Amino acid sequence: MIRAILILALVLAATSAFAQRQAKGSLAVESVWARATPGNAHDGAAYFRIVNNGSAPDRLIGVSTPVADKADAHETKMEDGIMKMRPLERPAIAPGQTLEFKPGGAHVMLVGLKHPLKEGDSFPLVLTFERAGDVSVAVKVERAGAARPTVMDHGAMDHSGHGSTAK
Amino acid sequence: MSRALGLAVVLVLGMAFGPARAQNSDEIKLTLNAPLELTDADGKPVRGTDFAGKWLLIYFGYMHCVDLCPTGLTLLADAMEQIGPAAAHVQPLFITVDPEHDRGPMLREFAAAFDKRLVGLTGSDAQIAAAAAALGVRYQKVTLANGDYVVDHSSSLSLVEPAGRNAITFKMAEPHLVAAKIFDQLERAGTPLDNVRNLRAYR
Repeated sequence: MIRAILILALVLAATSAFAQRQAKGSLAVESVWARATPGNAHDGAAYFRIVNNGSAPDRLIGVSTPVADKADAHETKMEDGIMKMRPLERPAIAPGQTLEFKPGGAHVMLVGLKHPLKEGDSFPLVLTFERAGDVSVAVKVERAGAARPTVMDHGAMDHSGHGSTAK
Repeated sequence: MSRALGLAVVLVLGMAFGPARAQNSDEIKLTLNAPLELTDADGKPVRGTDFAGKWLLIYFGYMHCVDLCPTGLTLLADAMEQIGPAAAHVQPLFITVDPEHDRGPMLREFAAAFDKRLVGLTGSDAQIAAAAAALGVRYQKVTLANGDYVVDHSSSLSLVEPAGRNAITFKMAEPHLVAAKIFDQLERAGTPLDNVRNLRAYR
C-alpha cells in the first residue's frame, strides 16, 4: 500500500514537474510561461529560463508551437531613451550559464496566434537547440502583462503525507 | 527691483520655449499649444478636451508589441485601480504609434482587455506624430531584415490636466508610484480627493 502511494507520489511529482521544467542532457528549460493575450491580439509572448549545466556551449536555434504561425526570439533593449525590439539570433548559453527570457528583456514572440491565450491555459512549445536538439515544454499562461510566473512554493507545502523530499 | 524683473523675464522666456526639464530627470513638464486631435477606433474624431473635466493618463504603444506594451498598459491599469475613487477624475488613453494597423474593433477590444475604462485612440500619421511630439514621446517604425516591423518608442506615461494645457510625461515605474504621482498632480490642481481613503499612504 505504501509502495503504491510512493509510486503515485513520484508519478504526480513527475507530471507536475513536466509543466515547469524539462531537462535534456545537461540543458534544462524551466519556469516556462506566457502572458494571456488581450482581446483578439494577433501576437503573444512566452518566457522561460535555460540552464546549461554541462561543459559545452549550446545555442537556441529555433522555437515552434502549434498555437501560433511562428515563434521567434526577440530582445527588448533601451538605446538613447528609446525602447527597441530586435530579433535575437541564435542566442548562446555558455557552460554554467543561465539565459533568462523575461519581460523587458529577451522573450519569444508568438506571431499569428490561432486563438487567444487565456490565463490558466497550457500549450506546448518546442525549443530547438544546436546540440541538445528539441526540448518540448508545456507553457503555463499567466495574467496579461504579468511580470513573472506564479510559482508553486514546494518548500511551504506539507509533504509529510507521502514522504516526498522534493523542494 | 529691476534684477527681479530681469530674472522673471528670463524665466518666462525659458518656459515659452518647449518642454522644461523638471529637477527630476525622469519627468518633463510640457505645455500643449493645442488640444490633442486623434480618432477613436472607428475613425470618429476625438479631441483631448472631449473628456470634459478629466485628467488624461496616456500610454503610447502598439499592438504588435508583445513584451513592453502589455507591461506598460498593465502598469496603467494597476495604477487606475490604486487611485480608487479618484479614477472618476481620470481618463486612461492608449494612443497607438502604429496607426496603420491599430484601428477598428481590434483596437477597442485590445484596450478594453487591460481596463474597461481604457480608450484606444488612433488617427492619421500626422495626428499621431503631433500628439507624440506634444507629449515628448519619440517613436520610429523600423522594418526588420525578415520583413517584419517594429516601432521603437520611448516608454513613458503622460498626464494632461483637464484644461488641456499643462502636462507631464514621466518614466514608468511601479503602480503605487504612478498612483502617487497622479494624486500629487490632482492635489496641486485642487481636484477634490476627500473620497480617497488611503491617500496618506501615497504622500
